[in-house]
This record gives sequence, C-alpha cells and structure tokens, in this order.
Amino acid sequence: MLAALEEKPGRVVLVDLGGGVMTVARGDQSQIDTLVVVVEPYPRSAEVARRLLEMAAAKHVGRRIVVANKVADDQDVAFIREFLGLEPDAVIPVDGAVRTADRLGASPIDHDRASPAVGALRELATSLLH
Amino acid sequence: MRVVLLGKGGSGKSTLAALLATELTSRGEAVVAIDADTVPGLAQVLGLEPTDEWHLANQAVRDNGGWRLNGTPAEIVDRCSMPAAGNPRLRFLQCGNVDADLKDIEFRRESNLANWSGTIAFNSLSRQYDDPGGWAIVDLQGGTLQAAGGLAGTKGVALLVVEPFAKSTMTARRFAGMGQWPAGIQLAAVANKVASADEEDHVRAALAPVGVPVWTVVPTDPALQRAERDGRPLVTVDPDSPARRAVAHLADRLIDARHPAPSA
Amino acid sequence: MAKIAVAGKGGSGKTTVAGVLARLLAEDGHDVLTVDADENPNLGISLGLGVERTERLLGAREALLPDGPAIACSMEEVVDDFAAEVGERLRIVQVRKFDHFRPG
Repeated sequence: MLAALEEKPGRVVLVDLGGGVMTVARGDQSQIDTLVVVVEPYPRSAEVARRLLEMAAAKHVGRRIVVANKVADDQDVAFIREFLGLEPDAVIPVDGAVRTADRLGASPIDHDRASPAVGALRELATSLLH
Repeated sequence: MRVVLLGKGGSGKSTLAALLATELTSRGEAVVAIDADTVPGLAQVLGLEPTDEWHLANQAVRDNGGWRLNGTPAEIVDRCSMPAAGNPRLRFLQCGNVDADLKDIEFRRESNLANWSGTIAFNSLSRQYDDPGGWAIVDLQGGTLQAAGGLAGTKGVALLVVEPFAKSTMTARRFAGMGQWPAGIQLAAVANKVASADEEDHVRAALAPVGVPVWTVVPTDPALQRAERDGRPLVTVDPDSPARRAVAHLADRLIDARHPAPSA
Repeated sequence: MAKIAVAGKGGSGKTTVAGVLARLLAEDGHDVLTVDADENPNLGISLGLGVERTERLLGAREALLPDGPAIACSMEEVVDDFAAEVGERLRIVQVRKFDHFRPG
C-alpha cells in the first residue's frame, strides 16, 4: 500500500506498527523513511527497543528516532542511555493527564493540551518534519 | 492444570505469570512457566538468565507432508525446559529467539528447518502441555493473534489481564467476542494496576456485558514498580506488598478451580 | 512525502505517541494519513475518535493486497473507500479488524 500511494507534497503517512518486533522483523521496511521507537525505562521494554533499532539499521531505514516515554527522573533517562547506547531524541515525562485520558478513552491532546506529555510531543512533531 | 494469560500488550501478563509461578511454587506446587513471546521477557522477571537459545529446535519432525511432535508434550517439556536455579519446583520454557541478527529473524522460513520445527513444536506445546499433578502457566504474547491461533488450548483457565484503560477493556471485550471458546476453558479476568475503587468499577463495568467474571483485583504497587524498573526478579518484592497479596488470592481461586467443590 | 512508522514494546505508549503526533502534524497543516497496522487496533482512540467509532472502523487488509481491488482502480481510491475522517487533513485506515478464532 505504501508503495502505491501518490507522492503529494505536504502529505505525511504515519503507521502504527503494533507492539513487539514481528512486523519489523518480517516486513520489508524500504517504504519507511523514519522509524520512531518508543521505549519505557525498564529492561523488558528496552530489550524490544534494542532489537527494533538493530533490525531497522539492518534493513536500511534511513532515520531512527528514540522516544523515551513515561520518564520519572534523570535516572530513567540514564537507564535508557546506557541500555541502548544513545541519547533519546525525545523525553516524555510521566503524566497524570495521559493516564486520565487513557482511562476515559480520549486522546491526551483533547483531554489536556497543556499537559507536559503533549508539550514534549509538540517538540518532537516539530523536529520530525523540518 | 493450565493457566493461560491473555491481554493487551503491557497489561501485566508476564508480571502476573511470574508472581503466580512464585506463589504456587512457594505452596509446594510444581510449575512449568512458558513464555510465548518472541522477545524473551518472562525469564527476566522470574530471575532466570534470559536466554535466546532455541531449546525446541528439531522437536517437531516432518511426517507425511505434515508435522508431528518428537515425543509427547510431557516428554518434550521434560527434555527441553530449563530448571530454575534456586527453585526446584519451577521449570521454564521459552519461545522467543528472534534476534537482531537477520539470519535468526528468518526463523519462520521453511528453509531454516530447525527453527521452523521449533516454532511448530512450541505452538503445539502451548496448546497441549498440561501437568495433571502440577501447573502449566502460559504467558501469551500481547494481543489476540496467538489466542486466535488456538495457543490458549482447550482446557484450563484463560485469564484476561485488564487494566483500567479504554484500550485494555476494549481488548478484553474483543477476546470475549472472538468466537466460541472451547468448552473446557474457563474465561476469567484479573483487573491489574488498579489505583482506586473507581478504576475497579470501571473494569467490572466493562466486562460485565460480556460475562467475564473478575476473579482478582491487583492494585498498583510501588514496590513492584521499583523492582521492574530496577530489573530485579519479582521474588525480591515483599510477599506482603499489595500486588503479591492479591496474587495469593488469585492462587486460591485457581486452586479451587482445579478441584471444584462437588455440588451438593 | 514523509512515511513514518512507530514501534515499541506493547504498552510502551507507542500508539498514544502516534496518535498525538498525527493530530499535531495535521494542525501544522500537513495532510496526514494514519495507518493502524496493529492486529489489535486502537489508534482511533489516541486520535480522538472515541471507543465507539474506533470499534466500528472497517478492516482494510484484503482491499490493500496487491491483487485486490487496487488492480481495477488506484490505491488512492481504495484508501478513500476505507479511510475514516478524523478531522481536517487527518484520516485513518485500519488494516486489521481484530482476530477471531482461526479454524484448524
């Protein structure tokens, strides 16, 4: 599908690949120019992220962005930095407003646009497509 | 008896599988814990050395254009499962072997027969392995894919792990609506990471319309969260902590389900 | 034309990140097509569609296959048929409807 879509200026295609490694492992990623890997600061999440990043590099995905999510403190960022051997491109803090939005089945941007998590994503959106 | 854990990714299946295995073995029960996820994770929370070794290679063999297991499920588990250092009543079996190395990523291609046979063997064991005298705890991958493929098997308890968030309750309803569950399976839910009475009500209300009973409510637990973040095995968490006490209650329910009281 | 994919361990917040990013990019003036390729899809919720509308989204998978309807018409037309409007300049195509038990 991605290969067959028309090239339109100003168009963005954003794909949610689902949890885990299998979609990236099995798929041909040649149509993707940026892979955003979301990682939480604990070992099992970081291990999946590590494998995703290595697969993406092996499959020549041009740009790989790491988003550290649900970060409580500097220790959390340090954990990700050490485990993955790189500085995260974005850090999204633990955010009670996101938890509430999740409970209500709403998007965080509708529930509380001014929340810290949405703010961090605002910065990421800007840097993703300059 | 078989206990299979299902749920949306991140809902807490592996955590609960590890806590349940620990609780049951502490009561003298024999447990085989099975990690069905492609990336190893259950081993780590059990305090076992995470391994990518493909223990099940060649445990399924070609037979008349199809496949058969290289022994009974019990024989294969006996042969291929890892003992848990420090816990003589616990054995462990892992599915995952997808590594970053591309040659291992192609494990599902038939040309890589050893790995393909391992996958076939693993799927059969997930479906069939049972220990009448002990417990088989199967930690399925997040999502509905493996359950739809029958990896939950045909008997025992299928535990839906549900968080008080819309995506998690929506997923739980999907499991209940997947079609006709085998008659031998009891579908029950565990409400996990529940922070308040409101959140508990939210989970119960979401599951009531699909007739899935909530057997246990596991509260949010700071000590458990710290252990996860530190990468410490969950057995290091105080048995009196809220989550561990809730899992003790869950173990009681499961033991009752194994030998249901005779009706009057 | 940017083609961005979002991945991560289940529960990491990947879908929340994808949904909020899509909303922000659409507000910035980009024409955003989101694709939910998860076998247990819920991107609709993170885009702000709500539970009910998300549950009603169609699964486009068969239509997107190279030997499907795109033989007779363009992929754009197939996407137009299956995509749900989330807002101005923002649409979602859900690839999978969640799985039912597979026979055999």
